[in-house]
Amino acid sequence: MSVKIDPETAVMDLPRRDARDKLTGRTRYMVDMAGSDALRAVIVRAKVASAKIVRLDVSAAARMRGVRAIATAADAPELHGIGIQDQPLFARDRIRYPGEPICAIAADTLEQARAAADAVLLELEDLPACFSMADALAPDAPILHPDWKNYECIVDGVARAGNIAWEAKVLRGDVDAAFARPDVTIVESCFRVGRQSHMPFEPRGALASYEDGRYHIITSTQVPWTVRAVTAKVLGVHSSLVRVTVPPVGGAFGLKFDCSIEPMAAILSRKTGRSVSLVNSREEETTTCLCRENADIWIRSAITPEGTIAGREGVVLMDAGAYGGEQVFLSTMTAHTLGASYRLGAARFSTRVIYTNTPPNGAFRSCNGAYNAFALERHTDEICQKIGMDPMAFRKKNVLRDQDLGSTGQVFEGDVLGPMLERMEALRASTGTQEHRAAGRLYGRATTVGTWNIFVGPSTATVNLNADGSATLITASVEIGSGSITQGVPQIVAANLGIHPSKVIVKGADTDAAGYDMGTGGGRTVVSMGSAATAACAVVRKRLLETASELLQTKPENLVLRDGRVEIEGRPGSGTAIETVIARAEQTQGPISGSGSFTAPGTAKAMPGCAAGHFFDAMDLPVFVVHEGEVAVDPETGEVEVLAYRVVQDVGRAINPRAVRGQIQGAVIQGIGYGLHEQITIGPSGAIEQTGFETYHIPLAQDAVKVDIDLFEGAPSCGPLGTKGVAEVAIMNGGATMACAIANATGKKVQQLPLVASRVLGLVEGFEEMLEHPHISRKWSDNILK
Amino acid sequence: MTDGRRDSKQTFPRPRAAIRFILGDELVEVEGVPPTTTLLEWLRLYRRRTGTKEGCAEGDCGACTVIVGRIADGGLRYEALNACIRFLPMVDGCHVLTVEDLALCDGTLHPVQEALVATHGSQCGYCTPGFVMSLWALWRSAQTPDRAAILDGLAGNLCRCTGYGPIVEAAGRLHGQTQADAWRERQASAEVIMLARLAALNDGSTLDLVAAGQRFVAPRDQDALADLLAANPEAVVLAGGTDIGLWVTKQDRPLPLLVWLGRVDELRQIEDRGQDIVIGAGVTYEQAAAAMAGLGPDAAGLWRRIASPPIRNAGTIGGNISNGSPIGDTPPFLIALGASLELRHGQERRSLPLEDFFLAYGRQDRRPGEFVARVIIPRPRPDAIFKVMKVSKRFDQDISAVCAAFLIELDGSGKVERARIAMGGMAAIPKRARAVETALLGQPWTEASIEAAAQAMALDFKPLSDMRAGAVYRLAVAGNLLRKCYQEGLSGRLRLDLQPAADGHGLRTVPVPVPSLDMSDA
Repeated sequence: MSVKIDPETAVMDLPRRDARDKLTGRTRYMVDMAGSDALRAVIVRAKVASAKIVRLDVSAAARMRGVRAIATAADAPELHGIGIQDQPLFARDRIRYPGEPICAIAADTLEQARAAADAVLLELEDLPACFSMADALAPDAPILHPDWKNYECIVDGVARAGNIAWEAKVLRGDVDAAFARPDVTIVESCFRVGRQSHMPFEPRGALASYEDGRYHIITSTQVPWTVRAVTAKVLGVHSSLVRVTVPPVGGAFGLKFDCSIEPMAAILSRKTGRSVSLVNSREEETTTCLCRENADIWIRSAITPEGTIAGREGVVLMDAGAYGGEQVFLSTMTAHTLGASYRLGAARFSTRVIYTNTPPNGAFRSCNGAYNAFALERHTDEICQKIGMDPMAFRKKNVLRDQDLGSTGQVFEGDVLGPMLERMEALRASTGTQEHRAAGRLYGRATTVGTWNIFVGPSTATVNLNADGSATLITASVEIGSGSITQGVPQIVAANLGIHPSKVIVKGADTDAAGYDMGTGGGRTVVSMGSAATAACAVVRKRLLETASELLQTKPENLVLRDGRVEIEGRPGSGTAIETVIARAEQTQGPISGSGSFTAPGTAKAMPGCAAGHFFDAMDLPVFVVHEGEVAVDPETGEVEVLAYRVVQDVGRAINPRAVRGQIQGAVIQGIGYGLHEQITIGPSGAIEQTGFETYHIPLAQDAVKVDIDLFEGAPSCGPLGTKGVAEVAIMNGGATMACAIANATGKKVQQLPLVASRVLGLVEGFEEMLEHPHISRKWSDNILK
Repeated sequence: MTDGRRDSKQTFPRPRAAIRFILGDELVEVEGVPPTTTLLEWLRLYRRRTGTKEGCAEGDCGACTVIVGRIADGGLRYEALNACIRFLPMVDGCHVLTVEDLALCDGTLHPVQEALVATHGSQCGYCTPGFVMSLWALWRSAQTPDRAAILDGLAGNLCRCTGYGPIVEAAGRLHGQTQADAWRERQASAEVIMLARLAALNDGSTLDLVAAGQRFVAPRDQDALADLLAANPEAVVLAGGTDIGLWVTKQDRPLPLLVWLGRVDELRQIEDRGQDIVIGAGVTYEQAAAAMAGLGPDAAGLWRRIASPPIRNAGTIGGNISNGSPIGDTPPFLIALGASLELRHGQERRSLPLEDFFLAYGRQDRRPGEFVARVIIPRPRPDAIFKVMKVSKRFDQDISAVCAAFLIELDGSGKVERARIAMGGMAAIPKRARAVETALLGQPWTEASIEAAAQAMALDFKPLSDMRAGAVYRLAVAGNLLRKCYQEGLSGRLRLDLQPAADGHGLRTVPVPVPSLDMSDA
C-alpha cells in the first residue's frame, strides 16, 4: 500500500524537546554519569614522536596507592582502522606520534591514577621521524609502517607504498589533449591549509562496566555501532559481547565519528569488575584531536577562449598523521569536492594520504571539502583574473547543471547551482552590502560555490505504537546537538502517523535495543534514519489502517491519519481516535510495531574506469551551497572583520526551518573560524602546540556575524519528504569565502588558511612567502604510484 | 604550620576553620576539604550538581560560569565567575547560584531560559549552563542591554554549535519575556533577604583552613597580611586566582600555604587623588573599570578587551603585575602612564617605578615575603596623546600578540616634549621603547619624525616567534601601531576606537569623532 504523505504537515518551527533540561542543567552527559563508586582512569601517553619501545614496566605503578588495574598492549592484541587496519589501541613495539597511548591506569581517584602514571617505566630507542608530508615523501624518508604490506585493507588492489597510506585517482577524458590545445589559457595554483580542531565542549571519554560477561560502554560518540565493532576487534572478542549506549553528546563535529579510548575503559572495567570512567582532559583532547587534516594542493586548469574549462588536473596531499584513520576514507571526497561544482571537459586528480609522525587526523564537518572548496574557489578567481572574466559570470557559465557530468562521469540531475547563484544576487539586493562600514580599511567581497555529498548508508529503525496514542522511535542515532534525531526524524514519523511530534518518544541510542546504523554525521541522519523510520511507519500505518478499516467499515484506502485520529478522507472529524485503533489491534493481532531499513539507493553511477581507490565513485545525494562574504582588512595590523555573510543553501525541504537556520548559522561561524583564526601548529617535536581554548581560538560572540540565509528548496532528493542533510555542508565554504574576499580586498594571492592577522599583514606588506610545493611534481603522472 | 597564628592581631575574632556560604537557598558549611578544591569540583563531585560543566579548567570557555553574590558598598553585588578556577574558600560569605537555581520549583523557567528556548539557543547544550548564568548577570544588571553590552556580557562564553546568533537574539529579548516584572520583583525581594543572611554570615574572622597538607589563610587587614607573609616567605599570595587556579588544575603544583588577600578591605580600595589614581592590589579589573575609563577612551577600550567578564570579576591589577607575564595587558598601559608600585615587606614599604619591577622573564624585583600593596597611576596631561592598542588573533578574550601604549606630550611649538612608549609581547618582559622615544624627543610631531622613529623599533626589540605571532609580524605591527597612533591623531578629530561599534559588529580600529582629544592646535 503506497500512501502519499503531505510533506507540508511535517513542516513546523518546533522548539527543541531537549531545551528545558539543557537550560536547567538537568541533562546528563557521559561526563556527568560517573558517581563516587566509579574508578577514575588516565592514559599514559608517549612524549616523543618516533621511537622503538624497548621495555615497558608498569609493576611500580601497579603497586601505587589506590591503583586497581593497568591496561597495556597485551590486553588489546588486534589492530583497527577504517580503510586500513594499521592502528593498535596502545603502542606496542613502536611509538609513532607524540601523545600515542602507552597504557591506561584505573585508580580510586584521578590524583592516584595520575601519580601512578608518573611511575610507569618506559625504555625507548629513538627512531628517525617525518613531521611534514614533504619529509615523508622524500626518497630517503624513514618509513613509519615498515609492515605496511601486511596490513588488512577494506578494499583490495589500492595503490599504497611506504608512507603513502592510500591513493585515490580520478581520470576522465584526455587531459593531456586539453592542455595541449593551442587556444587554451593555463592557470596553475598552489594551496596549503593547516589543521582545524573540533573543540567540542564535552571531551571524548567513556564510562565502562562489565556485566554478565559483557562490556557496557556509555560513551560520547557519534557511532555506537563502530565503537561496538572496534572494541570487539581490538580486544579480540565477539562483537555481541559489547553493548554501547549513548546519552546526549556535548558536541562532536566529526571528532566522535571514530572509536578512540572506549576500549581502554572496557578493558579496565573487566579487570577490576568496577565501573571505570576515562575522560580526556582538555589538554589531551586538544593535543590528540583527530583534526581536519592539513593538506597541500596543486591544481591546474586549461581554459578555452569562451571561458569554459577544457581540462583540469590536481594533486591533493592529505596528512593522515601516524595512522590512516578517516583520511583513507576521505580521500574519496576530492573527486566530489575539488572535482565537482564545475563542468570539466577532462579531469584527473590524485589524492594521496601520507603518514607523518604527528597526531592522527580524522573527520570534521565537510571533511576534506572545506579545504578543497577553498582551493577550488581561489583557483577559480585566479582563472577569472587571468582571463579577465567577471567571477560571477564565470561561475554562472560553468557550474554543474542538469545532465552535466561530474569528475567521475556521474550524471547530475536538476539545475541547482545556477539558480542558486541568481538567488544569491537577489539576496544581496535585498540585504544591501556593507562596504560603507569598512571605514577606510580595505574592503573585499566574494561569492563562492560548493558541492558536498550526503553520506547515505545503512540505517534501521523501529516504531512501536503505545496505548496512549504515542509512538516510540527506537534507533541507534545519537543526539549530538543538531536536533536531527530528537527533532527531525520525529517530525517525519509524526507526519507519517498523523500525530504531533511531541507524541513521538525518542529512545536514546543503545546497540542492544536498536539495529545497525552507520552513525550520526555526514548529514545523513534525517535522510537515512528518516528513511528507515518512514519504512517502519509504513508497516505501522498498514496495520493501523487495516484495523481501523474493520472498525469503521470502510476500505483502508479511504482512510487518513490526521491529528491523532483515523479519519475518512475528506471528512474531517470523522472516524476514531488512534488510541481506539491501537487498543483494538492489541486485542485482535497484538500490539502494533514496525521496523524498517534503508541504505544508499545505488542509483548514482560513475563512468566505468574513471575512479580508483574510492569508497564510492558517485554521489548518492549531492547537496550545494553558495556563500558570499564581505570583509574589511586593516592594512596596518592585518586584522580582518567580517562585515556581512550570506548563504543560499540547497536544503531539499526544510521541515524545521528555524532549526535549519540554526545549523547554518553555527556551521558558517565554524567555517569563518577555519578561515580566519583557528590555527593548529605542529611543533619541532611533531606535537600539536595548542593545548586548549586559550591558544586555539574558536569564534566568540563578538566574531560572529549574523548570517543572512535563503533556503533553496525543491532540488532532487532521495531523502524522506524531499529532505537533505543541512548541518554538514554549511561549513564548507567558510574558508573559501574568507580567502576569496581577502584576496579581493588586498589584491594579493591568498594561498593559505587560516588567514590570521600576521599572514594577512604578510600578504599586504610582502613578507609572506609564496608557496611552490616542490614536493608535488608538475608532471601529473609522477604523482601516482605506478 | 603555626607561624601565622603568632600574630597578635589574629587573636580576635578567632580564626574560623569552616567555609560558610549560601548555595541557592541553602546555608552550607564545609570543613576538611582540601582548600585548593575548586568550586566546580565541589559542586560536581561533592554535591553532584552536574549542571555546571567543566570545559577547559582554565577559565577560558565559560561552561562553568556561576553567579557569586557578596556584600559590597552596603548592597549585594552579583558577578559571573568561572567556578573551574575559583578555590572553594574564596566564596566564603557569598551567595552562590548555579544553573539549577534559576527556574521556579513548579518548573517555570526563568526569563533567560525562556528566551533561549524560543530562539533555539541551545544545541548540544554543554556550554548552555554557562550562557544561562552570564545572561542572568546581564538580565540583573540592565533592563535592556544594547548589542555592545550583550556581546561584552557574553565574551567569556564560548559556544561551538550555535554560531551565537540565537543566543544574542535571546539576550535581546530578556526584557520582553512573560512576567518580566514579576521576576524582577521576586528577585528584588529575594535580595533583601539574602543581604541580611549574608550580613549574618560575616563574623569578621580570619579564615584559616588546614586539610590534606594544605593551609589557606585569609587575613582581614593589611598589617596581619604583611606579618603573615614576612613570617612565611614561602607562602603563595593569592588574589583573584585567575592564574594560580591553573597551577592547580593544569600543573598539579603543590601549594602548601596560600594567603588570600581578597578579604583585606584596605587592598580593595580605589583612591582618586586628582593628579593620580591609587589602586589597591586586591582591586579587580571590573572594580577598576570606571576609574580606568577616566584615563581616556583607549583605556576604556583596553579594559573591555582584557580577558572576559568572569575573569575581570576575579582577576586583579595587582595580580596581573605580580605574576610578571610578558604578555599581560595592563603593564604596557601602566608603564606608559608612568605608574609606580608600593611594595610592602613586614612593616617596611618601598616605592618602585613599574618598569623597574620586571627584571627578566619570570623574575621580578620582589623579595620573598614581600607583596605589591598598591599601584599608583599618574593621570596624563589633558592635552597628551594617549593611545593603547592591542593586536591579537581574536578580538575578544585573547592574549596579545602585541600590546602597545603611547603617551606623547608636545610642547607649545608642536615638538615632542615627553614620550613614554611601552610594549607587551615584544620582549621577555613588558618593556619601554627607549630608542623610539629618543628618536621622537625634540622632534616635530610629523610623519617624517614618526617614520624615523619607527625604524628605531628594531633597536628596541628582538621579538620572539611563537604560536601567537612571528617575529617579523610583531616588529612590523609595532611600527605600524606607532604610525597609527600618529595618523589617528593627525586630523585632530580621530581616535582609535577599541570598543565594539554600537551595532556590535566588532569594529577594531575605526575613526570616530572625539572633540575632547583635539590636537590640531597642539
